[in-house]
Amino acid sequence: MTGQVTERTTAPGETAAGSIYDLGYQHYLGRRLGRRAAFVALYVESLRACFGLGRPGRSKIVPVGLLVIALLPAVIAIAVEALLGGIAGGRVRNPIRYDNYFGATFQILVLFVAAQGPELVGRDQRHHVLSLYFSRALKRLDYALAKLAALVSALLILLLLPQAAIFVGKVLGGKDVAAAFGDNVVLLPAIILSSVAAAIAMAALALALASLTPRRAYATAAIFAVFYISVAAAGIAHFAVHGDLGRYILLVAPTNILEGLTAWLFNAVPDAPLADAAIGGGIYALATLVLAGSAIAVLLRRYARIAA
Amino acid sequence: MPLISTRELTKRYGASVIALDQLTLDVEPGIIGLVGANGAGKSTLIKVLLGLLEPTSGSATVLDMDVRQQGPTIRQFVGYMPEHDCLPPDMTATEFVTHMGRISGLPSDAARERTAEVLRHVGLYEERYRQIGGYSTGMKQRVKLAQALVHDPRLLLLDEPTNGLDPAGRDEMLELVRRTGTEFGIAVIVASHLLGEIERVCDYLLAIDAGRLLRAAPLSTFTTRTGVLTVEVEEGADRLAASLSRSGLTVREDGHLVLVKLDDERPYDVVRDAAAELGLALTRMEQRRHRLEDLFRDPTDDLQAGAAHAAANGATEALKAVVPGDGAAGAEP
Repeated sequence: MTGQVTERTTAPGETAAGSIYDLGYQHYLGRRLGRRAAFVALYVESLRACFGLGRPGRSKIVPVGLLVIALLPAVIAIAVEALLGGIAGGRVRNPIRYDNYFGATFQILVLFVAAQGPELVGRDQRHHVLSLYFSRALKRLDYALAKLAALVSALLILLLLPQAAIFVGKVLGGKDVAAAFGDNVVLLPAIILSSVAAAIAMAALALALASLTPRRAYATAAIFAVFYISVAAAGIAHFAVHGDLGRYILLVAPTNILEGLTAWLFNAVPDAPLADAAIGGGIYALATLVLAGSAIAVLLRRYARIAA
Repeated sequence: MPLISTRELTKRYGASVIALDQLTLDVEPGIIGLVGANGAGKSTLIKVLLGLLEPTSGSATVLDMDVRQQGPTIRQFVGYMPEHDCLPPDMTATEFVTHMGRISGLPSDAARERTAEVLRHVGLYEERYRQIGGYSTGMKQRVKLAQALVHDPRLLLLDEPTNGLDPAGRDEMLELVRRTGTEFGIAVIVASHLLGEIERVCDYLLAIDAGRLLRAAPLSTFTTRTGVLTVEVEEGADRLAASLSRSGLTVREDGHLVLVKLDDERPYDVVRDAAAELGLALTRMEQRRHRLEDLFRDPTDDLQAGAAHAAANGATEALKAVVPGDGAAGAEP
């Protein structure tokens, strides 16, 4: 390095046209934090982008709107809890519970990953930003994992924030706060485990699909197809095919897997047709692992090979 | 410490396409022009050096670090400006360059400070708070340069930095590149197929063709001011050559042409006088400089180009006498 460090020759205010480039240059002598810091920076930026932060106003409409809608059932649940608790003396059961909350917010989660998954990974492909990322302190897999971690975190916010609200509502709404806390706190492991499983599986699946194309419309359509059409197809096949195959065929739909897993974790009975199929909880857990694992494998493989 | 060093570096795409063919070179810091026709392997070489592409075989080091083993570490000290568009339209230049600084390993505060600095350096002021999508091509090129400089790299790799720019934008970009190399002491490699641009900013030249190193030498040896005077006569080139030779000039006869070594202005007069004396029809008299284009000219082209090609290559023994010093500028590695 033979260059000299020139002093700044122009004060910030005096940017005369004649001296546009004549501003000197200072070398950076501070620390370079390396790959881990780069990963964290990409994760934080991506998580912010999930909710449209740091992006124009229109980018915030869908994610923030969905977050509000996700919170609505919880708010309603708290209100219903309070009202029914007072009027019927607690004999009427609140329709919104932890174990079916996933079912209630599932549509919102699908909309969220279908909108924000392509935004997270397709945008960088569409505008060829990947070559800038891959030519920095990151490795290709770091990029994919940071994006995945960001979407998982965003889904956890969508899942856990309302459930935390329900939790608070149930505890504070009960006649005996201490007892209500005791009743509800035992459900915490199930709440967290089911949310984490759903968040990882859905985020991985959505990103794996979205990473395959730079086109947002295709990616969104593919995500919808996988989450919705698979349920319908599995449902039809379930009634058409008899025997064990007819039962387990329900597992082709990611939605069914996650609903079954959630019900099992809360020791509850899932909705039909999963209730009839009577698939063991262990099978649901295994299916979730296979689903998330294969989606992550597709995602990482895609980024190991993608041209940049 | 060499800036870049490669040994038999080979990159194949599939079975048939060889983008880099056993490329061996050593490059010292400076402003280095990487020239070659489209498809010569310039972009591939840059991407291999960055670790964006895995070499098929051979080895390469950048700043004394192995590209296969130390990719992320190397890339903390290297800035890259790709040839193609690479900017998200929905962020402001400030946000984007700051983000890229952090991805390069800078702490947040430093990333913000350096972003303000480099955006000023590339000549973006109030526009830096506007979204990139609304920028002109020239402004986008500046942002691309800024993101490559934000982490104060020791080596800057620029792939066709003047792509899509109008003549004024071209001049400004080349001036920025030149300043980056000279005043800031950042080594720069500029890949371009436009030799005129390379001539203007670089002090060292790497010429590659079909993935092979054609030549590596200081730019001055490619475009010597002391050139060759090409004299074309309708007939009697042999007599003219003999006459000029007697007058003490170094000449070589080449068909209709007489090539005269040109150190000063004297040969012009000598040629004029000799032609008049011999009664020859002097068709053309032209000072030849070695031109970068000659590097890539097919040797089987017309005679004149062939002679020039030989001059640029330093390959023809006869011309070595005419153009001293050229032979010494052969490919070094």
